[in-house]
Amino acid sequence: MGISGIGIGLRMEMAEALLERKPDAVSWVEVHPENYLLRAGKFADLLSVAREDYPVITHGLTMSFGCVTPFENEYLDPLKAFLKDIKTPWHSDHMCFGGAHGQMVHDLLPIPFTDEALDVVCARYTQARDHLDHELAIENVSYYAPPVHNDGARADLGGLAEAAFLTEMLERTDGKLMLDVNNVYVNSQNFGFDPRAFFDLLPLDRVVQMHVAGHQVRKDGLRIDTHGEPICDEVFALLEYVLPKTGRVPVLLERDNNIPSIDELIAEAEMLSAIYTRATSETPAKVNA
Amino acid sequence: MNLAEYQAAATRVAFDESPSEEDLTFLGDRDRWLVYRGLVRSRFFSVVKSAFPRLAGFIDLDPLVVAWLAKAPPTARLFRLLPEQFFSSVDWNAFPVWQRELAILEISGWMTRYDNAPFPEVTDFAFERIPAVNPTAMILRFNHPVYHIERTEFPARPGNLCVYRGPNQKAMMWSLNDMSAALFMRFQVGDADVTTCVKEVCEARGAAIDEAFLEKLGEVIAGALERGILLGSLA
Repeated sequence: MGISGIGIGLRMEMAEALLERKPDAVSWVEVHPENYLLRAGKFADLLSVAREDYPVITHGLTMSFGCVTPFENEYLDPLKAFLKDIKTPWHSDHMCFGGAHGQMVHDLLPIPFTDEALDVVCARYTQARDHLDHELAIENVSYYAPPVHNDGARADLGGLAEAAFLTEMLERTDGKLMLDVNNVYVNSQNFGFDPRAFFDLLPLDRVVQMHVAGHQVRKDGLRIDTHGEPICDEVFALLEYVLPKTGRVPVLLERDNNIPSIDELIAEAEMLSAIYTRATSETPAKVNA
Repeated sequence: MNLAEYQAAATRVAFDESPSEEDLTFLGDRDRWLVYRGLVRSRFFSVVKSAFPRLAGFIDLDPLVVAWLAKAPPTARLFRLLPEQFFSSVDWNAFPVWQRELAILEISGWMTRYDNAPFPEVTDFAFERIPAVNPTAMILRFNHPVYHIERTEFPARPGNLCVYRGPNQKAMMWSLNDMSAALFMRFQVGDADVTTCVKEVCEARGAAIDEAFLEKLGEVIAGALERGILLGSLA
């Protein structure tokens, strides 16, 4: 049986409390390899403890599937060893770029939805999957600048161009999708499209995992994906809409900033768990890759 | 639009001291790319303040971060390595010695917190065996006692400090006199037993190995074992 149910991001601020409480609503944990690679001390110790109690899925921050700068083996080789050691069913990272000429912005910058970018993402995804010899999933990101597209068919889709781009990429690479529900919602609000129509365009049978999180609404109305606020009602509703279509894939509660008490986190995980049970009562668990 | 040019322009907008109107126009939405610039830069300002909390109380670090991003933009893939790149980008000779030393102390503490040097296999401590030193330990010499964290003034008074990773991922400090510092640096070489190291250091420093010395040596070794600076002897 594969991993399913609600997971939570293992963060140092709450890891000890989570591992002590072991709440029923949490079935697995997610870690960022970048926080553990080449690092000893408490981080390594807590990960060892977590692995005794939970399946672990990895989620990267710096693979930047849309970046034109080539990968360094100094990054991929230790990552490969880490993924193998953790026995993660897949590793996910973002459809974005994180800098140029070796300079790292440490943020998820948006790629244009052009034919050239599609070629780059497909090539990089395939290269990384081959090098790591591990299943990979690509995550849709939030973006704040209007997406650029030069392809006629995608341009006609407006805000839904990303869904068409992702679909083409996943089909061309036979890839897997890490669907971030909050990011779809944030983009739909910032750029005025129907998030349900976005989901309906995607090959949802390729989804292996989902993310949900909170976001910030600025005074000017722009929504920023901060992972620092509670999940909003609209994102809960979208999760309930899409879950029956994806099947019982694992869903992660992402909270990276402004981390509340463990009680508040567990309460949010319990709300997600209730939605999960309701939305997937008639769908079997997916067999993890 | 060429993807490489697009990514280079976006990176310049993030790191340049003042983003060029040409880049902002090229990228398409000036205001939204300035939002990205703010988001990116806030992380760098924030991580530097996290790594240098005491120094930030004495000098404004933001202009140094601005110069770092513009002149030697970060290349570290691992976020925790960014403070080291920032530290390397600054000409600390332009600052008073005590501020330079405070910067060294804080970056040393930051580094020791995540140092992944493997811990050796150890056995009980014995004078006739090679001492096993905590691989996160750094012996530092200062001209000003910047490690007195409760103080705000640091008149010149040379001293030595051992910085090492303690429980809970915290950087710990232990003051050492000159003899103890020399001994631990010799221990760190890891090629001779304790007795040989002690003899060598005493000979080099012209110190007699008498009863008082041995009593003091015992106290220092006990203190180092208790703190986890000395782990025992190499197995």
